[in-house]
Amino acid sequence: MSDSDTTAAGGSDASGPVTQLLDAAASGKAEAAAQLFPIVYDQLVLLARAQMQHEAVGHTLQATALVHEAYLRLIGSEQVSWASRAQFFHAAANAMRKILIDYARKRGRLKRGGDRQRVPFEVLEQKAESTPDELLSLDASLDQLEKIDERAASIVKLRFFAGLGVEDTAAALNISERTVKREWAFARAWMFQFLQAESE
Amino acid sequence: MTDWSRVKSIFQELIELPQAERGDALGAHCGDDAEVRRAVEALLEAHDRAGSFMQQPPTPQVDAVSPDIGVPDVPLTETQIDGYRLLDVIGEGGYGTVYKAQQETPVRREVALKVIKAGMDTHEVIRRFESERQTLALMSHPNVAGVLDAGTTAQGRPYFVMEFVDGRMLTAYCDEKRLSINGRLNLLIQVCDAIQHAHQKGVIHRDIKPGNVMVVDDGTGSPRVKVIDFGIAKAIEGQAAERGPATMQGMLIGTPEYMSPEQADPGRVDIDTRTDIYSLGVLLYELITGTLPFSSNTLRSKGLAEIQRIVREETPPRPSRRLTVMGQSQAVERDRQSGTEPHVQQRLNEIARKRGMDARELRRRVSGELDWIVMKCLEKERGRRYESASDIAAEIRRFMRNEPVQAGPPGAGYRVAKFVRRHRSPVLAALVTVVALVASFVLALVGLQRATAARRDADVQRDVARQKAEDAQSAARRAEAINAFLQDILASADPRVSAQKDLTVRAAVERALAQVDAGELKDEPLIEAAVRLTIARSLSGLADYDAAVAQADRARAIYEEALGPKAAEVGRAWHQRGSAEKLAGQAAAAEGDLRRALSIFESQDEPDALAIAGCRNDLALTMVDQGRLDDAEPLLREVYAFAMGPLGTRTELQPEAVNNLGSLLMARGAFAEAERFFREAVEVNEARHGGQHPNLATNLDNLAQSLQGQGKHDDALPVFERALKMRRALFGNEHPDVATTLHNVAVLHYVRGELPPCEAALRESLDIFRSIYGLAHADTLTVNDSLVSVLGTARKLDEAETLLLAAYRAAKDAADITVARKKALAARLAQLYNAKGDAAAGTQWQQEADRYITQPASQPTSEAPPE
Repeated sequence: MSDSDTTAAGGSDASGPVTQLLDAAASGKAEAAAQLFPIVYDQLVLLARAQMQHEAVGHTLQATALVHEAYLRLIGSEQVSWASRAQFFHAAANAMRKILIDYARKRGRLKRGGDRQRVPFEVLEQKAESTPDELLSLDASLDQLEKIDERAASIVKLRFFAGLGVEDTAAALNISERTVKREWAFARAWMFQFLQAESE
Repeated sequence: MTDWSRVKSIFQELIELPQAERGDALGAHCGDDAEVRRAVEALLEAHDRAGSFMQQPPTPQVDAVSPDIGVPDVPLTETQIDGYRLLDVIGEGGYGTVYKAQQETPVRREVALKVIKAGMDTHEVIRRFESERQTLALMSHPNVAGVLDAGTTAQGRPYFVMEFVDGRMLTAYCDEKRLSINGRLNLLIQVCDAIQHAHQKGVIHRDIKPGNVMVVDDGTGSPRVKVIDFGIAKAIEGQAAERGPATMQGMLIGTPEYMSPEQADPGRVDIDTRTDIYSLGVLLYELITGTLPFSSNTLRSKGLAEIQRIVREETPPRPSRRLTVMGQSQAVERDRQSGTEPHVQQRLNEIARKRGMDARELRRRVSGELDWIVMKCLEKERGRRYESASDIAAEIRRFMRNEPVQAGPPGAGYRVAKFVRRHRSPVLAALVTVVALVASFVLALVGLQRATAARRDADVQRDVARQKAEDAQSAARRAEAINAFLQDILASADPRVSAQKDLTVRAAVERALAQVDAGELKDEPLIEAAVRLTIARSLSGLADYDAAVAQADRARAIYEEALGPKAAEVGRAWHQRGSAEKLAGQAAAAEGDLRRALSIFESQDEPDALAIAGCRNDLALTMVDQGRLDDAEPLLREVYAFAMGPLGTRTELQPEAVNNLGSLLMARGAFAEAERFFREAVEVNEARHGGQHPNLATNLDNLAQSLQGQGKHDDALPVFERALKMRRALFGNEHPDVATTLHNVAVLHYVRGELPPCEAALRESLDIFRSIYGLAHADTLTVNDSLVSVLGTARKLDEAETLLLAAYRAAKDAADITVARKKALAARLAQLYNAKGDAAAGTQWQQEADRYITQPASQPTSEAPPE
């Protein structure tokens, strides 16, 4: 193998190393998990950017679709173990969260021109788009939740930011589906009342 | 410090209890710990009030992808689908039920709503649809029924919302109307147009069959085909494909009769546009013979594996052979058992009769070229099928005009364009055929390297091909990437793109150009020319007009040398050059080039009517730019008449033609007539795109102007505001179209005497134009003039002076600014200084203005007439 083979030429097809990293991370190698994040992050940013370019109408990052697309691109259809898959979605959830929040921050800064009124919290119940402000508040409440209950917070990340279903979340955290539902209910109620208290 | 783990466990226990029992349980669990009790109560209240809080991923548009947790499991009937009122069941299919429904918001309209039957993974189906939604939204074609939305019913089933098409299924329509073979072929051409359009936008249909091809006949004698269900097959089947052969049956049960061999291959996942080519072939087979390549009886009586094997391996009889066999089998049967109902012969006669001929005539008509066309579509190996749906359409047109077709009898070799035949690289062949499309551009890039290698050595080439086939998965992914990429290119071919977006596209174009300039295609001059022309189009879309002109010139030089100066391709190059010049504001030069293009197009043995109409349209617009409305009007009326013509392809020009003619009428002061055209245009585009589209915004802006022109100021303002809002939403705030509407709104405010909003709108408009075009541009100067006027009215003369001086300095030596404009700027400065009481400066500027009087004659041409 020549030297040049080891460089990620163009980075177009990095599925090999990713699967290896996933396996390593799944078998408990913390540094592998850490290495995973930037790869997944870059891929998601790339996808998000591509999507936003097609998307004339404001910002509509479709987190779920992006994460799954990133999965397909990085892993392809290769069979990876459940544990590896879970690692991927952990990394993806964190990356997606970072992307959305960075974006919301940036956009919040740019858009604050009086052209958009702050939406009262109740309106979130409509299926209206989440505004950057709402996303930032959500993120802040997630930070708070993480301080008191790490597991509930990671369920929020997986379900909300990586768009995993109950079944996949359960598999990713190696807990039962019932637990996922119960924890999710708690996390949701906790964040909701936290935000309500904040906005009062 | 709250004991959250205790709070949590109490909370989790309580929410599983009925409401009524919670109070007691709360007391029992919390005892006298008031803090825990308060926290649990707050959580319970939040739990009950949280509604859909966080039920959706943080993505504005994915309301359909709400996770299933927390959704009340109350049985609801399917008459309750958010925002839609179901009216009638209009169809039941393999995938589910189709309803006619009334959409209530954001627009009230009738739609078709397809509810997928239970058993599908809703989340996955919707996710797949979501991932393709943007691609689907790019489709806009009179023969394509748009998919508008998708979601989940209360019962958790996915549904798709489509444009409602009030029509008949293609085959039923043809038989009812007893359409001749040509009548049927004309409809199939429309189907091809729809599929071609979809392919150009990166959408593969995957489920072309009569049930998905509707014919709308409004009695005008020009039935219109509408292809429905784009994107749905992928959303539904994708998961089956992903999960492997075990669930392939679900997919196969769909419509095995129309399924391509690669779709019938359980190991195959790289479905590409050629699967649609196959299905179009089946449709064509059915339209002409009234039977299917593999009969439903045969297929449906077999097991799954056998169906797959038949579709993949067996060659169906060619259409004329099928007709012959039908006749013979009857004869054999009759000889053997006289008295038996000769049903097969009867059926054949019936089939022929429905086509307005007898069985022998039908056989004769089908035998030969139609056979070849069909069989080329039905090739097992997709590389041997037509490359594109438009190729099929072109081939059918040739057949109908009695010209030799490109398909040949099977086994006798395939007549392909001769420079393709020299090198049978599949990549190169693909490249050649599709370069005409913008779409191909990226494919060309991907293929270039490979094509070059392939030329060197046929074996290497075959290896590449094999490797490519084996590398199906990555090819599929690459195809996806290309699709995504391609959308950028397509979007950028439109000048209405925001400045930021251009970066990556520009990089791609430059890379392509570098490859071409490096001689990658020097052995293939015609391909090189086509690629350069495509690049020219993209550059023009990127507003790099000089470079676009240069590329068009290089393409033209190549074409002229290879094909002679009168070839249609040469005309295309002139047309492209003219378009770029027009966009660059060089109307006179553009007119010259477009006239050359037009005369070449018109002098062809077989003039291409669409090319001619398109060219006339652009030519007329350059005349409008030069203020020659009298010259432009008859041309635009011709284009309009053509665009409204019967053929599906022609109507592509329709929205533009309506809008242009309206604009012209408006420019001539015929506001009421213009209003009629713009209302028509708004209607057409609303029906086609729903609430939001660049063209719709343009129509609205124009409509508002025509209302304003008639003095209907109160009517005009909301229309302008709608246009402005739409443009901001579509393009962001920094865009020439936004600036244009801002300017138009400002003018209306001005007319109404509302100076503050007028001034504000003008400032924003000017900022946008200045940052995009610079000052020395006709549009920027127009807005600048307006703002100067408003400032003058408001007696803000100093600022007006600053603006005017800057404008004059920028415009003075700019080649693209008309003399009249420069003169007007100087004259305004004179007025301004007089108004300020500076008579000396006023006089000086008047002299500057007067200088232009003696010059206009010599300005356009430097050639002085000899004495």
